[in-house]
Amino acid sequence: MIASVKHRKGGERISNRDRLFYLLINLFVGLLTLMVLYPLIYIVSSSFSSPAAVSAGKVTLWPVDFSLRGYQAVFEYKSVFIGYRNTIFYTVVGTLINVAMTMLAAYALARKTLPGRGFFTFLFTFTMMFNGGLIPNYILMKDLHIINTVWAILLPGAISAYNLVVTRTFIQNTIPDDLLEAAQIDGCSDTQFFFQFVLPLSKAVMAVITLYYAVTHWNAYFKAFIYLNDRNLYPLQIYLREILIMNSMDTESIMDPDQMEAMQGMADLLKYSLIVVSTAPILCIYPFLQRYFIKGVMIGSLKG
Amino acid sequence: MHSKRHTLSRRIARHWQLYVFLLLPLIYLLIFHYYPMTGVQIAFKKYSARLGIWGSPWVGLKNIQKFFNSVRFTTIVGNTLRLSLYSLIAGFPLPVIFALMLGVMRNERYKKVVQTITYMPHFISVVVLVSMILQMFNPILGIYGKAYSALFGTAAPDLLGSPAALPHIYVWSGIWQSFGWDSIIYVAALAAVSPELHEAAQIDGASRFQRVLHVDLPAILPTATIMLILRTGKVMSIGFEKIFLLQNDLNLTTSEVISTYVYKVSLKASVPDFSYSTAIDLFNSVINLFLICTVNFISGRISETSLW
Amino acid sequence: MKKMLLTLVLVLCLSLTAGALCEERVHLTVGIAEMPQVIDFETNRMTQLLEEEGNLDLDFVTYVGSEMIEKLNVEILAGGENLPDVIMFGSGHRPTNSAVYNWALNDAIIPLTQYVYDPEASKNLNASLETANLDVDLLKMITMPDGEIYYLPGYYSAMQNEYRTKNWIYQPWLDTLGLEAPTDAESLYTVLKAFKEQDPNGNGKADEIPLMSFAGTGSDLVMRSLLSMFCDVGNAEFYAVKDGQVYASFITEEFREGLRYVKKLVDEGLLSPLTFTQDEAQWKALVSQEPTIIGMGIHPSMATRLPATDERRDDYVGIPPFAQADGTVITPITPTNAYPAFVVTRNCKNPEAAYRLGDLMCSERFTVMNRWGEEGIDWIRPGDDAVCLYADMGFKPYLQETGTISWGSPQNQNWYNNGAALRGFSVANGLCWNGNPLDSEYLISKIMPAYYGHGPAEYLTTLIYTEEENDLIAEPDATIDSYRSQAMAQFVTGSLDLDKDWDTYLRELNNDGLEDVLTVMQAAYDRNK
Repeated sequence: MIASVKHRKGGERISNRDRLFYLLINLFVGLLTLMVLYPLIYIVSSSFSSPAAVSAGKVTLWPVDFSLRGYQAVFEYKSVFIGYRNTIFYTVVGTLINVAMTMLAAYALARKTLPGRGFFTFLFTFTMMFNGGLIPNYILMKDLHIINTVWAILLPGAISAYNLVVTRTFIQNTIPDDLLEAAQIDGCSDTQFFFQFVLPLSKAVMAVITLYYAVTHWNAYFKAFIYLNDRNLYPLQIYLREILIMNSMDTESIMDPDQMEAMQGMADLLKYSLIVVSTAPILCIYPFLQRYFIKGVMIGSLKG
Repeated sequence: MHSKRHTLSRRIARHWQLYVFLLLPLIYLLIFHYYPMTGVQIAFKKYSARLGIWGSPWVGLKNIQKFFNSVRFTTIVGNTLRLSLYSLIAGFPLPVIFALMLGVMRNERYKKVVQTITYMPHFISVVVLVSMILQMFNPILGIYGKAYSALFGTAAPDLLGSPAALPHIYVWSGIWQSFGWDSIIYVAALAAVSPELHEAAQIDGASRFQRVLHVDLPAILPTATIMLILRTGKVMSIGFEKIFLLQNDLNLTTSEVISTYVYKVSLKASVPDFSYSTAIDLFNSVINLFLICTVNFISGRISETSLW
Repeated sequence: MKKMLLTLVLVLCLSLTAGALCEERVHLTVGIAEMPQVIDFETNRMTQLLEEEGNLDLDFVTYVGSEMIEKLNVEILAGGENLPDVIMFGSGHRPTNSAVYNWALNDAIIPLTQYVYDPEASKNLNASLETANLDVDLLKMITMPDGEIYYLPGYYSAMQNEYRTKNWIYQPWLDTLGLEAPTDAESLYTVLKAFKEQDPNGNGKADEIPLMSFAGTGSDLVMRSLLSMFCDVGNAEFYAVKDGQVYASFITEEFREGLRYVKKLVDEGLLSPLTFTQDEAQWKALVSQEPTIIGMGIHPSMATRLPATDERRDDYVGIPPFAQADGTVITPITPTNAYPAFVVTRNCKNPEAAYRLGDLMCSERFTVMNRWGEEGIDWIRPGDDAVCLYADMGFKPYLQETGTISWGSPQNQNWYNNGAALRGFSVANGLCWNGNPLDSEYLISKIMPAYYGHGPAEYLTTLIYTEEENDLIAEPDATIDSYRSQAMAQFVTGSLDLDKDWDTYLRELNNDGLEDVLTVMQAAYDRNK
């Protein structure tokens, strides 16, 4: 079947059939986006509403009784800034360690001719399903003397087997064997090949695992609360959790009406404000990483 | 024989630099994963903090038997599997399809906006997600309730009180939350597809749709397969919080899973029976391992793609 | 002359203070939950006073409140070398008796028995016990199966907390329809039916929901109030005591009759089945609707569920507990529990000093301070015109808040009810009215006389199990509890049939191990008597 050529546009031919296809795709994507969008707007709107309105369920689309109380409650708690500082540190340093270690291992494991490749891969993925449990891990941290230090946050989880597999798959499927052969003929060593070819060509997957690791660090709560005691080291999520608890009304205790009014509904409202506060910074990372997902990353690599 | 061994040690020697690359990650693996893994023996012991992991006495299979003999064993394992497998199978295609659709889109601006919006639900905490679900599905005040009454005139049935409806609510809310985020890896994989392949296909007269089928899809299929295999390794490890928040007395027959059951028991015992929970985790891990090996093996036979 | 005298006094004072500072204070590390309600433990007023009177120097190790117990469990199970000398708990984050017993068995904490029974070491504790004049033997209650006492309790008696299952009805609807408040099953049915059918909120729509609550604590209270018209509902899991015999109330015929009644209410739309599935947020949204659509609520306090300025707060009037067919009233009660609030770990080098701290906290002075702050600053002895909310029940005015600190907001006067404490009814029930007719405490106090004393004659308090007992029944107990709760909801909403499925229900409970559970509970109950 020959599609009729409708018109030329800067060298590209768009057939009727293709036009229809593009239209359908755009519509469908738009539909999915709307389905996602509405609840998101609801969350943001709720975070800017008054506690009473949120509690009574009055918010449907736009903020009701616009108020910054939710955000006030968060930023009044000065420790939040310590939390931000620590989390940024853990995220930046932690992700650097993560990506470095993961790239090293993934590169080695992606080489099909490596003896023992299957064995090592199994060794890594096995840890995804089996682990010693909380107590043995805690005892290990204790024996290494890293409890209550930043290393208790940065070291465990340095490599995620999941991300490792993703990276290995990517390298294996997108760095062609011809490239390796050509480089080896030119006398390139494995190490040189890694730095000169693999790294520049793996920007897309590095962007992905950077995002994955960064988000994991950003949302981390459990490791910090188990291994840390020093409040100066606590990440953001712990402080946010404390704010939520502080504002949860204990209905069995006796309270005076003014305070009660002030606190009523705060827990409900805070749920939403906290999402915005803890998510907004991380949302800024993605656009930076997005440009690494551009097509044509491979252009030029096979020439010459 | 002599020549074979010669080749193997030669090969190892040739790849020596790669082994150096592996060195640090392996050290990490041994210290932080395999050393604590020896603690799994507690599943077969009666743990006492005084005696420690190595000094506690052996009790053999007692803990595992205790779990198998729990009155609700078949129900909770069944519920866990049902929710997990349903999530896996239903949730798998959409991120792939979505990534393909994104790849087709020509308007870069629109595409960026769509991507940013669709990956945001991933960041919504479980607590908020469930309270939103409860709100939406309230038969009186929720969107669902109002729409139902408007359409059918009668009061809407309470879906959250229905054991039959619960798995659907659980799974599809999860898909809603994660399809955008999960598609990121596929978008990245698509970005690496050489444009020359597309040009070649166009020259051959392929429509855009055909190009999706014959160029884009095969490009991300290996990645997708690996993702699927990895996911089967987590089937028994259903999260605790979301299902716990969605549970109520009326839907418990399909919503009681292993993790929530163990939680309730440990609450009653109010003493962490560490050996017992380790035994259950071990049980889960073994099932997971079995499943992932099976799927990996099958995948290795059908396609060229497998984990190891 | 005057100048010389003054200088002499000054020098005297200075040397005395210097002397006091030179005296060796015992240093203790205190583990406690970090809570935003306490600004800074180190500089806290209560800390200062405790340090002075106990001759101590306290350093605080804080834990993230919500998961403090979990973290402690991990630390203890991993060896417990880093535990502080003393650990304190509050009602929001506390271990159960079994957890503490387990810590003792793992050598993490030391027994306090010798100090508790030493009159000199426990002088404050004993004084508080006498003033409180409790019905229960508190020391017996906190003794573990091995005969030792491992913690000092947090024991806050408040009538309001013991009688939580209170009925509240929307008075304007009763007035509109010319009805009396319901008193038993029949009248309740009539009133709820009228609410449903006669459009008391006058808007022409049949949108009234006569009785409704939310899943969890809300539905529990509803069931307990309604079922109390047919049987003794017992404790939270429906185990009761009669003639010294522990039995399961939820397998009796009376219980079944009660379920039949509740089912009737659900079938006729008088009790909304959403009670079993919706969360509190949903319910609150419905309660706040204008015009009012919810007719009755069963809560410790209805007023706190509505916004502080909502005038309908006092429109939901408290009514006496419902009576059984023959007129007897057995209203459900939740007896005050002594929970572990203060333990001493084996890392403590000076247990006597640690116990001194705990004993001080049990004194009336510090127990009151821990909740209301410093006398003369945060509260005052009531004047003659003060109205004690519970005066009708024989309580004398005890304190009046001045408003400098408020429960729930950040302050630095006390430890927000964390740590050992002991008080009887006379304190919390000696609160004075702040004059606000919409105040929830005021509204509760109006109806309390109708509830107090009308609970069951025999009831279960917290049971402490031995390790073997715990191993035996932890799982059956959890399974039965979950199954019973599920079955109750299913019976009243019709998923299970009260005639056809009752035997299956009983059989299932037996299979789950009900016999064993009852035997163990009986043994623990007998031990405590």
